[in-house]
Amino acid sequence: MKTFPAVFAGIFATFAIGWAGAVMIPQFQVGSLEPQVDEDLGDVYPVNIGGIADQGRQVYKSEGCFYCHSQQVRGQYDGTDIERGWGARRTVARDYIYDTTTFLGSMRNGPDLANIGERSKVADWHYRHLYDPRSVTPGSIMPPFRFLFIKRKIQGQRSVDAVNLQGPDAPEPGYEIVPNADAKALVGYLLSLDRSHALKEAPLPPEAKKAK
Amino acid sequence: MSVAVTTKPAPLEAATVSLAEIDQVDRALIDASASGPVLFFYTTAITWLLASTVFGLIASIKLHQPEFLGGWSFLTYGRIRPAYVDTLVYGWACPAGMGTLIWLMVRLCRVSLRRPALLVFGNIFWNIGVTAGIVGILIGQSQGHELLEFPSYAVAILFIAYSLMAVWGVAVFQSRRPGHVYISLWYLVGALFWFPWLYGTANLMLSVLHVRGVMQAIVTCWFGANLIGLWMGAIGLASIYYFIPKVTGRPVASYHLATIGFWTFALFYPWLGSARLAGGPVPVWIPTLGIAASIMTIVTLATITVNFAMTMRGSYNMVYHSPTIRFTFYGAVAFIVSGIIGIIGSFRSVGRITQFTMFSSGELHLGVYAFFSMTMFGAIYYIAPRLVGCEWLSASMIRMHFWASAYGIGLMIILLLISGLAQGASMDNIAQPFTSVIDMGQPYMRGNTIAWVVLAVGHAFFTVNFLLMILRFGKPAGQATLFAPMEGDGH
Repeated sequence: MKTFPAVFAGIFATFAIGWAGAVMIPQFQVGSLEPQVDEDLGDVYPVNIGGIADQGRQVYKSEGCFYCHSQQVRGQYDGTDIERGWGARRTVARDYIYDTTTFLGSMRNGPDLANIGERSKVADWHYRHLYDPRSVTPGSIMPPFRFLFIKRKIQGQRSVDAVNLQGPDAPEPGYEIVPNADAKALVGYLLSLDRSHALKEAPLPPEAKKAK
Repeated sequence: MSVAVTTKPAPLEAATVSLAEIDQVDRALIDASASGPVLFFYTTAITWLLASTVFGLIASIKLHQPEFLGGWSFLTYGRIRPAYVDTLVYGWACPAGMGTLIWLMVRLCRVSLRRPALLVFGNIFWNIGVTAGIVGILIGQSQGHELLEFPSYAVAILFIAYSLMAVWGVAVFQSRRPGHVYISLWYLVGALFWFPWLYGTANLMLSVLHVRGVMQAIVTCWFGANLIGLWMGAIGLASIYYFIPKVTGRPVASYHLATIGFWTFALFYPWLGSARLAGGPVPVWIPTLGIAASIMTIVTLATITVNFAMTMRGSYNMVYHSPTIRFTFYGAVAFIVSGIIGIIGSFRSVGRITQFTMFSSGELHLGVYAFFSMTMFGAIYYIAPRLVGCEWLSASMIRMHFWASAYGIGLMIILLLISGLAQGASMDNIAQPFTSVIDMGQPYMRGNTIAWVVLAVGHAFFTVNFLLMILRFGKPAGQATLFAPMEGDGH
């Protein structure tokens, strides 16, 4: 190359091609997917639930849950996610269209959470798990999230929100431990995570259909 | 490079000598003009390197002692881990890279550094941006995308900062003295140009246009792979292409291979990110193209490897003598190893095992630390004495820094890669319950903490030696500080 403008044109063009191919074409393909509508049953999926799940997604993001938990189920040819019970089917792009922040994740120091709301439906379990992960899952390396809880004196009757903590975690008599607003939102979000609805591009496997 | 003058015809013998002398004075003047800004970049970078060492150590301990510092929200793993990676990348690597870029640009364009205020303000803004971003992550305002965690206000500051430096870079390049444009300069111009496009469009798509669903993951993967592979890759390779010939005194073996290496690098590296999405909820062609590009990088790696090996041939003993060569050589080898591991890891049969494990953390450290940071250390050991006007005080401190960094990061990467393979393989075997997969990783995570302690020792030696240098406690200029004395003239 005798003249640098030619080199610069190359520097521009190579990067532009990569950008167009790796970012812009995918944007045209999956950037504006719509939910699937089953006209016969009037059934729409996914649904934008908003509200507490949106607030909880903010907490999930602030606390960086996605550095250890993925939210994607790989198909049978790509891994054992389905056999591990993390989802009945693989997840596809349409599953995520209403996620204001998408947490596909790149690490599994803990299990996948793509369908955690369908797998663990009990809020109290989630609270106990967040408060002291090892009390419900021995050997877990999840950090405790005790700073999302408030310890307070029981006024009259025990609050309905109070977490049923056992053993060394249980507060002294006359006290209770309740989740704060962030913890409630986070658990609300976790309980909302259910990507097991059949989609045309990702049907449920036959055995899962029978079980439903 | 500045060898052209010495090839004048014979009758100008007397003049040639004085031209060579002029050339030397010229270089000294250029170095003097660059001294303030470049040392400023290095000083802030090293400060962040220490911060990232502390964050990284805490994050590493938390992986085997999850209750450690567990009571504070701002130190929870999900905040301290991105705080660590971002201080390492934006606090240390970017300013260290910019400092080296600035010095290489004025040297290769053979012009004195003018308008230093642009650079000084650029670095001040950059550091304000990084501080705001790290504080933002620690108080829970992360954007939730890997390597793009900084909240929008911090991103805006960083962008202003970068614009100031880029304007300066364009001005220097335009005012270069006519003549051959050396290959390092190609990489540097590429790096200067690619960064704003990369950082700008990624943040624009995520925080302003709010792209939906999996597009966020696609943009994040594209950005992350390019920031490390392309941007750091370009500055690191520019540095390697400059220092290996410079210190060994031998020109690049094949300039033709160097240009092939450059163009295949520019063509294939921008595609690599999407290989990480294999098996994920994206159209299959996206990761497939990433894998194809990854395989094509064999060409880049082969040309660069052959070229470096041929340039180094007969000069391998320099690794024993020269700190710059030793660090730069380590970086060059790490670049090649990282490329090979990247290719192997992108195969679907391997990827299904290594995906979602510490293997990717191993790849990150191979790129950001073993390749880029080691290369930058090498550059700093060469550049700083020329800017300050004295030599490194202590060869043993440099030696300690090298061994601690080399062994520390080597141990860490080996542990991360092996634990990734081992845990990934048992994750792939459904007979193994998930908790036993986690248990299996614990010894590796403890080893990782040991590696961090070793790295911290190395960084301490480096910082002390650097501080003594900028406070002018070094040895008098003239005789370079080497690991072992060398015959002939030392560099």
